Amino acid sequence: MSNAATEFDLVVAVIQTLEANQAVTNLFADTWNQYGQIGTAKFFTDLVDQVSVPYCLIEETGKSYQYMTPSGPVGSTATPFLAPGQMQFDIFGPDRGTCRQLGNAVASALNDKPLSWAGQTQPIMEFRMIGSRFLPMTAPSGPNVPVLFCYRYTFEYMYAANLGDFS
Amino acid sequence: MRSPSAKVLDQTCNIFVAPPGRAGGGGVQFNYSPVPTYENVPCSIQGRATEVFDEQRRITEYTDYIVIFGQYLALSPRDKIEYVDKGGNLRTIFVSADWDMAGRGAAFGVPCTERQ
Repeated sequence: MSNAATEFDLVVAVIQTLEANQAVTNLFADTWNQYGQIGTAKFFTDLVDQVSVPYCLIEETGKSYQYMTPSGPVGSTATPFLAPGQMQFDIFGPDRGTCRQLGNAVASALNDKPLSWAGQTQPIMEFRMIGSRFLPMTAPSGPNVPVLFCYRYTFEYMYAANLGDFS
Repeated sequence: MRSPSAKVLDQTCNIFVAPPGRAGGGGVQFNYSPVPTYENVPCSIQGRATEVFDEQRRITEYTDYIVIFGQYLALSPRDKIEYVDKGGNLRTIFVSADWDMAGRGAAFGVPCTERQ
């Protein structure tokens, strides 16, 4: 059974990169220590905990696998593939200006960064923003704020790996 | 005119009226003064149903309140009420409506909501 401290994937590298960036953590008031499991986390995947604004919801919205001709001798299982995908960052804040500022800080911290994670066999080929927009809110209020705003940054990425290395 | 007694209105709160505003980027914004519009107002703050659910992909604890006042304060939606609960925690709730509880004398019920 894995836990947050031993999980390996691109999104882990993304969160580590964001939480290692002091400009980002200062703006979000993120003080989380993943290994100590203490502080206040502001970056969550899939579902955000009961934290105050601002906070960021990260969604892995999709990844595909594009296979290539197996390399090496006939019968080799080293089938290379490219894995292009997208990741979304929804930044929630008390006003539009804050959301945009935080979104830009996230983008600045992640664009073209050499993200790496355990088990990775080749450097990441691309991690770059491809779009941003404000989202209309279905419920206007947020925690301790009369109106909640959300700014979404979408990133595209691609990395290469071998099927045999995939576990 | 009959009004809730001091035994009923045994709590106090600070009320911050929400002046309508707009941010530079065009977004709705409420410019609450750091100084309460009404300070230490006697009231009865009655928490009602609390639910925990996924609201906009965030685990949210949502509570409905009725705040009873003995005077008419002409509150509006988005006006902010702060009070200290019995645990000593500062709570922030927002006005949803303002009811004159007609026929009951000087008793005014203000439905509010809190998201935590």
